[in-house]
Amino acid sequence: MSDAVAAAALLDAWPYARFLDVRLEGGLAVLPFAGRLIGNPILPALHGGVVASFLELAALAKLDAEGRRARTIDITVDYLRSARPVATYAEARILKLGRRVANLAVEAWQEDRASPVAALRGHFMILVSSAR
Amino acid sequence: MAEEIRPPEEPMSDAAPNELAYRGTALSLAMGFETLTDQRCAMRAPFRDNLVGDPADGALAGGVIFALLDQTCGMAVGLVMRERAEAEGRMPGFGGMATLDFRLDHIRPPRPGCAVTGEAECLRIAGDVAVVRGWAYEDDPADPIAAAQAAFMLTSAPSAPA
Repeated sequence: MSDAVAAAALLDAWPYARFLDVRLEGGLAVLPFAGRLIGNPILPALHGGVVASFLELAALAKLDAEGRRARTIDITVDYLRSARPVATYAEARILKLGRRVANLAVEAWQEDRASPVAALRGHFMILVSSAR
Repeated sequence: MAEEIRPPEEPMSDAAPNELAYRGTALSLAMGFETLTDQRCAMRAPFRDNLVGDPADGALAGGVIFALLDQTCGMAVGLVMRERAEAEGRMPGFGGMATLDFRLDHIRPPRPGCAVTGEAECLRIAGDVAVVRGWAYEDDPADPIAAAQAAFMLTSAPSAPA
């Protein structure tokens, strides 16, 4: 099974991922803009909780693509810029994949990849190492 | 416990110390967050099938709890700013804030099929930076699901005259 298909399987299976409409395109996680995701209507800007959820799902999908079912232990999200009402992209990197715990970093951007809007670091408990 | 619940789009009276009318309304409505007016700074995320994480667990997704606590932590800052303005005899301004960083520790899995309540407390506002902690639970605050620690940057100085 290709990584993209496996990761999309998690995003298809999780109702909350479908609620946010998170998908994979060309190896990147994509969060299309929707009005219900607004946290600050004056700017306007995406809700910080939505941005964090998107980054977390990108991390879990990355682990899923590696054949690891995982649970979040902790995540820290740095908000670097206001996330405007446009599509958001994210790429997850596995910094360490242990037998029991994985450490990941995820960066999210909008139009300009060199200007990230948020970054996540987190630890994830590995539940299953499926033999694919 | 006589607990009043109202939808977040209702303009807040003095009983509900938050800035929901201006912040997070769209997402709160989409997720069905409810304001709990018998607590100082709390919101509830009702259980909804479309907000479940792993269907094998059947519980609200971690991201929902993150969003809930992000919202209540922002409320806690708004509450302190309002109290400070009132103590100084100023009109509370529409002071905005931006989250600098937000850490969420998952203490135990949320129970399947259960609503989750988030509470928050602003520990200190120093200059333009507010330090906040939050926690989430189903029924008992002493049995938390998750704990949050956050820093917010105030985008209008709290001491500015109204």
